[in-house]
Amino acid sequence: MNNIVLKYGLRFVLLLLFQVLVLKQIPFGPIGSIWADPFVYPLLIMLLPVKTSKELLLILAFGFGLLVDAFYDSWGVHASALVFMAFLRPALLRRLEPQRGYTLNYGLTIRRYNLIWFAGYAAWMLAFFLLFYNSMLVFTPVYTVEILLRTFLSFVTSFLFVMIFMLIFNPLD
Amino acid sequence: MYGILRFLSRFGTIFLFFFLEAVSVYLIVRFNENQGRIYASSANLISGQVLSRYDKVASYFGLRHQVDFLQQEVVRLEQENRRSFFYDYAESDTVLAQVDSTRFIPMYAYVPAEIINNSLSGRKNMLTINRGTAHGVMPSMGVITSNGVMGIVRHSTKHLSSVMSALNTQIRISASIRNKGYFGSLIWTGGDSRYMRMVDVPKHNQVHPGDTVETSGFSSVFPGGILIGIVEKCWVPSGESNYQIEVKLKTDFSRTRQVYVVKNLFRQEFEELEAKQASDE
Repeated sequence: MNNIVLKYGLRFVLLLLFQVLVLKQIPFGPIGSIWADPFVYPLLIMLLPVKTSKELLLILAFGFGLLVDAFYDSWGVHASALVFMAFLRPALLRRLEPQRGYTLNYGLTIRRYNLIWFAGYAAWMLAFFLLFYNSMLVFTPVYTVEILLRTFLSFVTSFLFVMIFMLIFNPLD
Repeated sequence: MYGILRFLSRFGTIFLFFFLEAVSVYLIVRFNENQGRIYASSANLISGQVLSRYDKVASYFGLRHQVDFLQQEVVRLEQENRRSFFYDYAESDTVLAQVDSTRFIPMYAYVPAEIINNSLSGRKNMLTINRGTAHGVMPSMGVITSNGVMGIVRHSTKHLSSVMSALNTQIRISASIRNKGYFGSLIWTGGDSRYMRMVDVPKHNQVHPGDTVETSGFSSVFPGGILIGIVEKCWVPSGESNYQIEVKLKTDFSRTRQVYVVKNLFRQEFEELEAKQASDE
């Protein structure tokens, strides 16, 4: 038990620092007038074991999101998007269930499943997250086109970083 | 208790989700300048719309009061109108040097009333108003609207009166053509509730479509000069000596609710005169 908390705690700190100390500092753009900000930290929620309760998922997402917000000085934007992503996770997992099913105690990693499955899962989760994040960032339906463009560009860079991150560290759980 | 727990275990996640999102959105709006500004302007938009809707509904409930107020106002203005006065001036001078305003004495007063029953479909249409003898309404008083004549009171009880509508084949209203002075009688031949027929206008007079028809003031029922309608077409049937004039009414009988009963303050004198005339015959 302590082991799991320590592991996720460490991952939490690592992801947070990488996000705010590395990714936040590198300008990705603007492409036209749109920035292609990459986000890796949603991995924390994505990798949690299947058996994690829905309530715990939401609370973790909210807390982690708020911490990221503290560094981005954008109170609530990251938190709301991460909560949204965490809320959709169980339903998404039901739809993406592999033929031999999930092992409840395992994390949702490349090593536990496979690259293709994880890529699809990560793509969906990032899409949910970025769509909601950009909607909250722009905060008006007037610029729907901008929201979609931002989401698309951010998605490309984020997906790239998430996959690189996973392939380099390749965690078991 | 068990029901609540089961409900929470089923929908608790959704509640938690919406709660956390609500907190997030609150934080976004409260601590982010751009989003806060957008929120403030759209919130004003929404609350403004709600308020203006509310205002519409509220003003609907206030209409009763408004109608009463406006009716009182119409009565006041009508009673100030010169046609409601009798010019009490009898100097045997051939030239009327000056109108002496102190000699105007009121001749007509008005009682605001509301139509509570109306029919248009028959040939002998009657309507009911919510004023009666308690308010000074008596049989054979005229009933007008702000757009023209409505009818003549036939019977009164304490609080109600039945009125012979102008759209009744038995009615005859003395009318004249404005600025020309030709007079005749207005009758209704049945059928279309938007038209009345003016008869007894001799054919040597010049009547044209577009002329205005008003009350003549030749009776004790209506003051003179109340607009009735516009001449739509006029013709002299072959072999007759009088015009048939189709008058398009200004009053929409199917929509009118507010009416005014005309009280002739010289009623007693008129009755005395009529009694003398009758005794002569």
